[in-house]
Amino acid sequence: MMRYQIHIRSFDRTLVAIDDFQLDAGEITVLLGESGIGKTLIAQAIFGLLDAHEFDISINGKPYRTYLHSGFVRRLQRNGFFVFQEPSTHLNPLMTLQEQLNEGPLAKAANRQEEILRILWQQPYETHIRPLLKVYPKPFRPSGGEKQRILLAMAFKKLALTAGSANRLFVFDEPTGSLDNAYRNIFLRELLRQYAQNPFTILLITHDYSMISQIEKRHSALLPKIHFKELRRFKGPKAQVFNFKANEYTTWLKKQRAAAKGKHAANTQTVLTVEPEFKVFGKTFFLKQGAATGKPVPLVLHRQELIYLKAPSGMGKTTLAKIIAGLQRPQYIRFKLAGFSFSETTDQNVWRKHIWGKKLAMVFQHADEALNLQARVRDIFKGLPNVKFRNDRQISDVLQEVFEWDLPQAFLQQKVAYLSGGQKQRLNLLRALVLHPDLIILDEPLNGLDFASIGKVLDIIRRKMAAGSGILLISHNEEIFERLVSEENCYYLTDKAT
Amino acid sequence: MINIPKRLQNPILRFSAFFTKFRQTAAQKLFRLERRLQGGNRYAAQIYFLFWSGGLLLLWLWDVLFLHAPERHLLEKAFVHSLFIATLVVLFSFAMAWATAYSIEFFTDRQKTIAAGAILFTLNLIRSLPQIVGVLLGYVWITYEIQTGQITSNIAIMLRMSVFLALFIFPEVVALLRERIAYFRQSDFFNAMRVSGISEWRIINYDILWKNSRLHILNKMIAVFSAAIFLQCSVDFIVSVGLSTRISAINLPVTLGSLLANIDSKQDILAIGYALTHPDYLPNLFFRHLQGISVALVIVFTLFSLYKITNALAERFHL
Amino acid sequence: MKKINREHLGSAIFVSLFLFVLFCLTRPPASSGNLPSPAVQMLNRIQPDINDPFQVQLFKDMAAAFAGADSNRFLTYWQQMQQYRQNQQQRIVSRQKATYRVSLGRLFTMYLNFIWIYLLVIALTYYGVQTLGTYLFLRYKQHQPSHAVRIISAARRILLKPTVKNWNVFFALCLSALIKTGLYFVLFAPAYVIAYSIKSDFDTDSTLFMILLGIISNGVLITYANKFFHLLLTESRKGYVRTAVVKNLNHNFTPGSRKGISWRALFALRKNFNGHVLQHIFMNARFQYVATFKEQAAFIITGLIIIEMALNIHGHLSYELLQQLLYRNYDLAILIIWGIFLLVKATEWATDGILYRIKKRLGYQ
Repeated sequence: MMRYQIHIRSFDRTLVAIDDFQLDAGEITVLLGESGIGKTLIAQAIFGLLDAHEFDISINGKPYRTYLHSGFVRRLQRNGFFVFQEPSTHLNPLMTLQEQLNEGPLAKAANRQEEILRILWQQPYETHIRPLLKVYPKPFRPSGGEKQRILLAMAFKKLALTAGSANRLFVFDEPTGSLDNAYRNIFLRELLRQYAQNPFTILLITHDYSMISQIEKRHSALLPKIHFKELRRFKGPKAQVFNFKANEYTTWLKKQRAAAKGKHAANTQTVLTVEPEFKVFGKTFFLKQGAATGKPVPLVLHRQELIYLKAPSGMGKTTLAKIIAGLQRPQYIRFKLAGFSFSETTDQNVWRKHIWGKKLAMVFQHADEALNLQARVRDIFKGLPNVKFRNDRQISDVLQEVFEWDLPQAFLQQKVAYLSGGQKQRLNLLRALVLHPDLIILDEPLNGLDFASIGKVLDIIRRKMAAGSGILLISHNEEIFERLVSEENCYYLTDKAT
Repeated sequence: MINIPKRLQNPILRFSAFFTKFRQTAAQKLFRLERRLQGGNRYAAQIYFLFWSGGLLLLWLWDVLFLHAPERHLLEKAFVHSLFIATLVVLFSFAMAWATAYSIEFFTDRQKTIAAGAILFTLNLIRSLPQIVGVLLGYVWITYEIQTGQITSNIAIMLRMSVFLALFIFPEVVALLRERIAYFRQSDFFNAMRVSGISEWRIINYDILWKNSRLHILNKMIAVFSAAIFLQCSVDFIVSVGLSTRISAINLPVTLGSLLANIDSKQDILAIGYALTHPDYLPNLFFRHLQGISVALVIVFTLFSLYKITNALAERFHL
Repeated sequence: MKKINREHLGSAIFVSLFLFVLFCLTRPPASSGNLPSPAVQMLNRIQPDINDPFQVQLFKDMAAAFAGADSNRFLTYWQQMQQYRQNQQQRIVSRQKATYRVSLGRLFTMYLNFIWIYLLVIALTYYGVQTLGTYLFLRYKQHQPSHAVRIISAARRILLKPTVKNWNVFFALCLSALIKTGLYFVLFAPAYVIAYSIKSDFDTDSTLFMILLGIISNGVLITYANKFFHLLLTESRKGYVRTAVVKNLNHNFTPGSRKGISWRALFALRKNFNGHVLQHIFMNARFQYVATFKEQAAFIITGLIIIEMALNIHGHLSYELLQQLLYRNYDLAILIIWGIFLLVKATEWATDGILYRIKKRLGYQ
């Protein structure tokens, strides 16, 4: 058992304070919790990756410098690996993927590379994988999922190199954030297979609660070795680890049903109609209902309805959302929104005058990017059309809609940057909801939320729908939304006409 | 063994105890200061600003004591003029840069590529001319205006100098503003606010430039101030030195650069080289050659301090 | 690349045409060689003062000798004489200007010399900036306390234990702080301040001295080394560096040590830190640095122009520019400005070309 008391402070505030963080040596810890709570910082502190001069850190009461120089940490780093979240920023843009996969000690496992990549890609090596390795990582190529798999391949190579060594700690920080569920399952399968052959310590950090059902379904034999834990704040910056019961999630999931249509459902005013075919970045895409097979059909969204748009990662769901929102110009499209007709030649002024903030609102996936982190909570609503708050009381009332607890006055004055990930995401959502638009586009609304917040956000979505908005939803949490959305309201985006 | 008379023993002991206590207290205070300075570079920018102000104040006090009053008044005048011009340059360059950057964004957003292209083309042209040449040509124009009697007052001359300096410095500020706007446009920040109906004017000016870039802008303004001092001193020095005796000098307001080009100051600067090869001459630099040394020191010390301030801000806020 | 070529060519042609027109407009006219009549030339020798009645009468008597009784011709002679005097003065000024006009061949030689010095300074600054910037970064990574803190610490030790060793340490630190400050002052001093300081002891007109000044003075080296240091610092905080660390690449940043970065690697012309995390940081910082090279090049040219002008280095391009401006030979001044503009434009073009090639190799184009 590895036990840690960790305190991490920046110059003006405490970032993480946890008195008892445990890792079962030789076993698997799945660490859940909302984003921004400190899971990554804790993992990096344990692995010895934080800068002792940038933060004031103590581990088990000793200064971090002492911890870094200990033989234990050196062995952890020598025999272990850390897969970081945000694969885009964790690959050097000036070196080919091949060079990065074979750098340093990883070069010694070059003979295992082909096998590992074939497992992760599930495609022929010579035609699909080898050409990709010659590429320099750029924002759009390779895709997020491919970059993630390269980082995972590095981890598996290191695993092969260190088989049999002691003190092997492998940390996977959101390893499936950019992966489709199919590839996520492949990764889990391979990781647990490697573990079963030669156990080592795994710390798996994730928001993807659906991983729990996958592990229960396919890897139940290993369940005694897997510990689900959730990190929650309980006193200001202090956090505590709670054991998370897997059946808490699976039971909750089973209880979810498709959202009932509102009482005005008979009044099926169409909010959005998108023609089945559109073209962007030189590629043609098709909309189908229910599955990737079948004929392309127009996407039709009514008031008080929720449509779930599915597609493999990187296919273009967010791009379509941006096209509808007037933020991306396609080469061809036809759609109608709130009585206005749009095509690829429509001037952006039409959106500016009639749509933005009035008929349409969009909640982007990364609250950290979508919100002004330097603004205060009360400033988030400034500048919104048709939204004027006379005093703080009115702002508090509106915030109550998503926060549901008595908000202290100080909360309004707080800088957005200092809110937790879940709070930011709810604020991000609220900014769209106060506009009462006809169409709300939600791009990964459950991103970064803990289990409790997921439930609250789903309730908010249901309430908004019942109040009259049409909702277009994009999310990789298929397991949750397939229960909430009826099959007829599920659309599929594909690049294949038949 | 020294026999200390009894009547002196007590005072000696008292003094010895006092001196030991003084040493310990001083050591404690120094320790606290050491820890505070070691604690990080949080206040480095403020410290360097105090260092700059304090250094100039010390120099002024020294000059009050050891420099002739007329020369000192001239130095004060030159310093005030140089600072005034540099401050105006900062204001003008920021105003021009903001107008240019916003215009480019406005025209680009509305797909008016010709207008945006014309502005960018002009900016590139200005950038292609070395600053010193551009400012020199500006001085030729100012000279013409003085000779034809179009401008007579020092304020008008200094205003024009500031405009010409700002004209060749502001493209750097434009680059910063555009870089900040582009950074936020790349992420969902810009689009998320646009789609919520917030006007682009507010997003660019309030959310991006004010809320998220004011430290970058402040740091750039300090760098512009420094560049203005450097260019201004260089051009004034060149214009003052490069004049032939056959052609009469134009009466531009006295600045640090023109004062440095003064024959007396040049003699004083030459004394530095002499002192390097004749170290016994060193004390004379601080008493006999004060005018030139003071001017050179003000210029170099100001440039050095401003560099340290911008550096400290960049490190503190990860700019 | 076509777009880049179009932009640069377009602006080069536009400016060249504009300057050519200005050049033609400012060319001095050929002076008229027509001499006035012998009568006027003779009368001009008197150079009468109109306030002196004696001289005026003398002029009238002499004019009568040429013109006879026709008093109208007196006025004509007077006007012609005035015109002749004016032309003479203009000829004197033109001859003065002509003395300060240089031939186009000489100007071209100065221009080539300027380019050669500029290229040398650029190359040496490029190397110096990266080496000094990297050294500053390695020093930063050691997290040594500043000089001020060390001096205070030494002073404190003296107060607690005034031994000879402690005093020696204190004085050594003060001396090194003084030397460092002196060095900073040299690096920040405008070129003319340094040059005038040592004018009496060194030949400040030599090309070598000019190159040295161009590199170390005007704040060029220290400013851009600092910029490069900040680029390294920014890159060192990025994610791919952490990936390199977990791949167990060496991340000991001690300069001059076998376990860290050797002096040889640091001072090499083509820097290579293979097997070290610094290689990742350096290659990305250098890429960013190349993108800002245009700004540095313009600053270097500004510095060289200031040096040549302020130090009155005869036979050099910028000094010649100043002289032509002062003697109002605007056509030659425009020609020089055109040459400088083309040099800056060529640097910008070359930088954009290099960037384009790098981006093409990376797959961005």
